[in-house]
Amino acid sequence: MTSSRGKINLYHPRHVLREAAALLLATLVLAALNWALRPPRLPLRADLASYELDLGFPVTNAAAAVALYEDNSHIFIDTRPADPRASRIPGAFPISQARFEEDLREVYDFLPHEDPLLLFGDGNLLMISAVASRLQERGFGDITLMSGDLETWAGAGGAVTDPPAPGPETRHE
Amino acid sequence: MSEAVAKRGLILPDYLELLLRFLIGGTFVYASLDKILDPAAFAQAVSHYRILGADVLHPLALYLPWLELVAGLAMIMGFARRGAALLIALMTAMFMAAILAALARDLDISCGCFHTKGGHAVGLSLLLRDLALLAAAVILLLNRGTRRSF
Repeated sequence: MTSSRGKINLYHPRHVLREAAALLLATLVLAALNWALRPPRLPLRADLASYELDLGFPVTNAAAAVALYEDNSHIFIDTRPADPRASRIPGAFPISQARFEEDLREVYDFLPHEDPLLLFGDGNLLMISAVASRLQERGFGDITLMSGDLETWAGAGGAVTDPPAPGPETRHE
Repeated sequence: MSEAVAKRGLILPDYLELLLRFLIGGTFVYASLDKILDPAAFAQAVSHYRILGADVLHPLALYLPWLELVAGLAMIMGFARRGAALLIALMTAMFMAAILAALARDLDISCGCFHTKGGHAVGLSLLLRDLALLAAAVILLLNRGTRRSF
């Protein structure tokens, strides 16, 4: 590690490995701090099922969606078929695949095209992505899908309310 | 080659070493930015390679872009630059292995190298680019020039 004159040999493989280890450690600290301090946090274990589907839209899990909801950064869209007995996410606008045109007409004025949308449903990502595609055709460019259903959402600490309010104006906070 | 030269190893002119360091370091810093800003999209791009399992995919998507940034900056600034050259060489070799694995399975995917959405399709041109990066990193790793930083 040192030369005959006592200087550190910068070219010794052990020195190179020490430098690499120091960089790896510094990276670990930076990445961990970034993960801890910058929500929404990517869960450490991936939900590979959501990656298997080539949905054409980014998919987020319920915990990350709760963080987006609390940041008030996304407009939430409920893609489930209308059911007056079902629980709801406060402030979410209902736009289902079956009543897409009617639902969109009712809430259109509350949906600025530049605002990011988060679509959720009953856990069927293909069904949610079908609504997402139709919204994309109407000019909504920033769309994220939530994996899981409302139980998953509630389990991640998300707010749920029932019974639903009668109109979109009163549903949106 | 005399014994003294062989012992000294490869010695690049200062300007060439600096050029290579900025080229490689800049490439890795640039490649890291989009991935750091959107780790979920990067994880999606990596998942298309169908190599990593559920336990490894997200930790790698969170860690690798920062390693690219740290190694790239170290290379540019000349801090721990041989360690940085080693890490960059190893990362590049890993990228090449992933590209080869995708090509072997006829996967029609984008590489996720610089941008998490879109970007180059995986192909031989990417392999050649990575080969050039690998060669440059190895040269810097073996270089015994005297320049320590700028």
